Amino acid sequence: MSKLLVTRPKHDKATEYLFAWSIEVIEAAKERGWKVSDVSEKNVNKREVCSRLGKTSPDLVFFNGHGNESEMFGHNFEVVLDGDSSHLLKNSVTFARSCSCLVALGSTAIENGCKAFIGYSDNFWVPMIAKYESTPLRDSVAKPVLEVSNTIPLSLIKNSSVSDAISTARTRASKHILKLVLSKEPHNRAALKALIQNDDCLGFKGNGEAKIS
Amino acid sequence: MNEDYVKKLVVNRLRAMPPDISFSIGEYGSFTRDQLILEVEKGSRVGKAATELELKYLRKLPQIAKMVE
Repeated sequence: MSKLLVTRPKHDKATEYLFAWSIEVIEAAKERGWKVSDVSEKNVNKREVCSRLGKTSPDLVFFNGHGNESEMFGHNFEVVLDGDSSHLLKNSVTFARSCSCLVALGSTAIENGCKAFIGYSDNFWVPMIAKYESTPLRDSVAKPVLEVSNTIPLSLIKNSSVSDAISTARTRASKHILKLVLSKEPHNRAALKALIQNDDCLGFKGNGEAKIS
Repeated sequence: MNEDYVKKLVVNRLRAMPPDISFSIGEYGSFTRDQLILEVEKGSRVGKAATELELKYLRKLPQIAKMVE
């Protein structure tokens, strides 16, 4: 049985959006018979995350939240993973939906045995419309951006390779960009900018042929 | 392009978006359209990130136009 560990802090607008949009991935994994370890809200702290990583040795790790080049954050910006603890990602495929983690944390994780680390090398932008802040799944400008990033773990769950998952996400981003660039709805400009930014800094380190079998 | 021109360009392009739009920009937090305009005018790190994104978008436009064709 394949195992997914997902972290979903929920302490500000951005994490509330990522929290809500990760549900689709959790449900897809459960539907395919995966064992899901959902570390959410206040539980996204270093102790809990490291403990679950160590105990469950997940095949796929899906981090959501804030980050920087060398650290992944959890609830209230507590560092939950850094270079020193990146050995806990050994043998996993990891996707960090956060800012910049690919740059240094991704490299250290690969040095410490992570099969592949997918992430962003710069800021991950999430556009929002004020009236949907409490109902993120209804936000039409966040939707294309978060759907594209969800494509990555959803493809991995369906046994795509890391390279193919990224390629699928890029194709999906291009389709949205083409549609949005012709749109006369002014809100869509926000989605367009975020899609371009996030696609531009999406990448991976490690083995692109890695799959979760 | 000089810095003032770029700032003006970015501010005008941000103003073209509705005021109820905001962006979460990683560790920097969330910014409404008008807050982002202020950051660009101040030349802060967030403002520079917004400027870089706008320029990135403009540079990509020819590539996007080719995709449309």
